[in-house]
Amino acid sequence: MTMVHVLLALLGVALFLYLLWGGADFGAGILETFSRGPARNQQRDVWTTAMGPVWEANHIWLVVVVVILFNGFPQVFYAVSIRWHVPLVALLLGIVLRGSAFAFRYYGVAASSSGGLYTVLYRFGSWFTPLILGMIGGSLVVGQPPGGTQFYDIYVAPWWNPAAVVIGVWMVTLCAWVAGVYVQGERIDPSLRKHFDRLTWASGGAVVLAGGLVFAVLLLQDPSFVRAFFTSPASLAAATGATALFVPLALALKKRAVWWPRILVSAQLGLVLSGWAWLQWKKGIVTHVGVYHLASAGAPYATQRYLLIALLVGVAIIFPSLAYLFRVFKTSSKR
Amino acid sequence: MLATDLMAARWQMAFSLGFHIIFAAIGMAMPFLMAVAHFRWLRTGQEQYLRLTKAWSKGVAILFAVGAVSGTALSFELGLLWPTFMKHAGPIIGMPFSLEGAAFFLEAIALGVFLYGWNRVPRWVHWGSGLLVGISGVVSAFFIVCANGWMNTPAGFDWVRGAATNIDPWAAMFNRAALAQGLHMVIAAFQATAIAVAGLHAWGWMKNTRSAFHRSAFQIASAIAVIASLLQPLAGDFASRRVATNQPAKFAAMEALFSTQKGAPFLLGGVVDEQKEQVSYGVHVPKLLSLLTHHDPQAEIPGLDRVAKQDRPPVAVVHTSFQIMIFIGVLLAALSLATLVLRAWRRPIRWLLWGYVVCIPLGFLAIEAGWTVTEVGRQPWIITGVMRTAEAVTPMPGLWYTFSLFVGLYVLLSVVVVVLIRRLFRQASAIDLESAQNTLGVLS
Repeated sequence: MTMVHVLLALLGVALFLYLLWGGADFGAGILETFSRGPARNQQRDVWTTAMGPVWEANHIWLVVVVVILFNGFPQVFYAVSIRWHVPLVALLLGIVLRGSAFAFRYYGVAASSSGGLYTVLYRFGSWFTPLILGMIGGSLVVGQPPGGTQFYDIYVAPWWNPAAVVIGVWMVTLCAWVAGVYVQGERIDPSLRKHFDRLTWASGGAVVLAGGLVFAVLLLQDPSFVRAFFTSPASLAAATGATALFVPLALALKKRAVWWPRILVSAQLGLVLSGWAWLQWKKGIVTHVGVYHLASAGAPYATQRYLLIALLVGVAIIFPSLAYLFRVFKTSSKR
Repeated sequence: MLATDLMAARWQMAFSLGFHIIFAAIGMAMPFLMAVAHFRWLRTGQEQYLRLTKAWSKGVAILFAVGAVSGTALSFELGLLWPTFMKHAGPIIGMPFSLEGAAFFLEAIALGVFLYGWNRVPRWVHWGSGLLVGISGVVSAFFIVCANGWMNTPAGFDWVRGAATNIDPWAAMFNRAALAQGLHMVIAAFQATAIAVAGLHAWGWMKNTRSAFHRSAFQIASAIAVIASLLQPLAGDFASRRVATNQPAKFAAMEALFSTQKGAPFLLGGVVDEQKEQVSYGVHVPKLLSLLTHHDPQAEIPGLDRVAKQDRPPVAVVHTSFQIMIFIGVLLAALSLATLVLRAWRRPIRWLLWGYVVCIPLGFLAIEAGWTVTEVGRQPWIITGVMRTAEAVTPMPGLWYTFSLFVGLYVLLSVVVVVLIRRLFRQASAIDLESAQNTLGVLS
């Protein structure tokens, strides 16, 4: 039993790091959309400089999540792959378009050019991918048990409903917020400071507004969920904690601290994800052929043991390497 | 047959894999070419090596990004298209996927350091990061091919009443096909990439025979191409003898051998008629197949008559792909021998350089042909003798839509990649010409 819990913890860590660092990359593309005025190319360059060395590595956490799932929890992978096929294809479309467009723009275009179509596709991908991610994640937690046997009932209705869509929107604002906080620690020319400060505060406001919108829609679509949320001490603590952290975060940002805002926003995201994971844990993956729970959907013992060993070896190699990468590119004597 | 969702799923998987493997192969081999050029610069200070390393890096960065996202797509498509396969296979063969993920992670980190760390890390650490990209790439390729090898020669489990028991992931990973397939694929990646790069720079060298940039590039690429092209027939021989032992149906299809024979001939070319079980227009070299396979001209090779009709792979497709692959292999080996004998890296030999130019796409064509042999040759099985492809496919209908989406997307990306690589090549050649002219200007 305990090995399953360790594997689940590692799965959670991988998902958390994907949402944090991959999310920051999405947010960079989202906020880059608001580049304005004569300095818009310099504004854009701040984002691409921040992302450049780290974005490929950041997005591999998603592959780690997928691998842990199909290796360690094959029944859940099976169920999700069938029922969420359509939004997962949409997710892939966003991922492929975004990554390719970013590379094409960075390496294929002259420095002075704005990169036209590539920029459009890259920015579209940066909004679209977290939207779909949020819709998928949201629909795994919220939503009615399936009924009906038509294509729409089985393959569309679970994720195409107001609650899932608005959670997708919230995910977009969350990624923008993480990027907005992270960018404050980058080297920014003083003439551009005001633009980035405005983006940071605006994205913070957007997260809060979108979060409120989520609850409003949930009250209409799935009031039992809202009731369950507010009567569970775990989810209440997560929500309250994440919201309360805005205060020290705002203070740290005002003081222009580099690492405290990043740590605090990571904690916010961690609390949000924990709250989601807890609700998912209780609910299970609901499909038209049954309910799958992670804890009971585990692979046989031998598989889990080898997976754990492989993951620990991976952690031993990857974490120090990542630390080196971040140290080379993210630390600097001056801001 | 074309109308079913199963065919759509197979075509989508084929397209996704066929697209991804080109970028993966380049991502595996280019870092080694770059490491050689980079090393030469660090040792000799000759600036064409620096320009070459940087020019190659730009192309590699683009190709790597497309390879990475198409690889991510594949990890999802395994489940989206073949959920029943993944439900059973995941716990058995998931380990090489995990290890591949770790190797690829390291590769992405190393690539970040290499591409962006030119003046930010010590020079030899920087060179090392470039080399690490290549090493991680090769390691991750080995692991992925292990997983495919398991589909061909399953191991590490008992199949009892439709489910796997007594799972042993270690035995599964070290299955009987893994080493042969792994060696053959890694060499193929180097061969295809090096030939293509040599061809591109052969073109540049012919246009500007004084170019140290193109000559150095051709030297490095052709050296690797020659070594790979001469080793590959050995690896191929090893792989096909393994197939003969472990997958007789696939082997019979490769050879279009409809009836079991002692002293079987090797078939060159030939048009296969599966209905009549005949081959027309082929050249049968007597006893050669038995000789090559078992080193005994009288050895018996089982034919398709030993395989029930519903268990046979599509013979025409498998045989034709196999012939294309070995034809290209022989051609590239001949080109390599000529290169060695004539020492073609010393001065531009126009007809030979043209040979390289013509061969630019051929290594990759051989890779696609070879994968067609091994994947189509395994049909109707997705796990040989255990699970049929038809049992593994997703129940969701409408797969021709997702197929069209991915094909459209990948065709678009291919066009952009070709346009950008051409542009980068022309820019690098122009810069090279300019710097040569400046040098001449200084001298005159």
